[in-house]
Amino acid sequence: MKIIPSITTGQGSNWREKIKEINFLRLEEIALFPTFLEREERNVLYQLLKESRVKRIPLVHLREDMDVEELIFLVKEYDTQVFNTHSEREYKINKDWILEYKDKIFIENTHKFPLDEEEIKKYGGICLDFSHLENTRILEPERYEKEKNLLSKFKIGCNHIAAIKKEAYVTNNKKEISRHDSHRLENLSELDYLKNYPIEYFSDYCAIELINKISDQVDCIKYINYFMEKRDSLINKIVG
Amino acid sequence: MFDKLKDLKKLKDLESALGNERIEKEKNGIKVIVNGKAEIMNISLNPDLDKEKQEQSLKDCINDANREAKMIMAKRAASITGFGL
Repeated sequence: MKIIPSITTGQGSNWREKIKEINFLRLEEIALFPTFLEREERNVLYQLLKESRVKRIPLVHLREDMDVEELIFLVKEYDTQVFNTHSEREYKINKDWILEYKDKIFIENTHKFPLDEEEIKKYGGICLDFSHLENTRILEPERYEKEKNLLSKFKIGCNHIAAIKKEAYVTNNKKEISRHDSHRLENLSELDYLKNYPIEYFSDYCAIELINKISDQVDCIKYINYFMEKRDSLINKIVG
Repeated sequence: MFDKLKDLKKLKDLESALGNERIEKEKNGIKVIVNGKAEIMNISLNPDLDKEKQEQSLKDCINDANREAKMIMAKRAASITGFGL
């Protein structure tokens, strides 16, 4: 398992500041969530990345307006190993992605759409978002059991890691959905839920999906690595 | 020294709790029971199944039970993982 900090672009995430921080911290490897950037803004982002210290971007979140040339660019320039996408029920999938990179694309368990076995078969496997899964565990036990079953059937090619709030909050969108998962972390203990998931659920590409500063994300990585090492050495003492 | 003894006791308690867990999986009349350390405690076969189905069902039961055991191990170990252990 390897955990990497990310440039996120959601509401409240200043991606330009994150690139400055990446340079300041001398980071060479990051994950990329250009989720909220239109093509023109992505071009600016790529230019800034070119001028930065970043050498590898192993995980990239896909957007429906990305053409396959953009994926090829990322693979060639930044050695991208995995892409994640949402369900086709949520946004359009570019057929050329599948033709070129079927085995590198992993479908994420999102809020709106539960994982679907037939859909997963079209890709390399599952991108397991831990905070979405934990939210499902708390609020939709039946769906959780089904998704747990699918996790055992397919390869988990990448992961997203975000926070889980103790108290449910209501989202601001029109449907007023109650949820626990959040892309803004306030306290490291909001990552403690990860301890309950077996090491088999963690892939080689775990991206911190938080709008927090990169330095906060680096602290998260240290925290997670520390408690997972402790936990798993304890398990190894017992089961060898 | 007392802290180390306490940690050792926690470890022993965890080991014993996992040993006492029972996870049962059944498929096509084949039943597998494992404990929380993923050790197989019991297997019941179904003589009415053909060899191929018997093998596949047994494999599925063992894999399912082991996966659940790993979830339990993670949860139980996490609950006692502190700065000492």
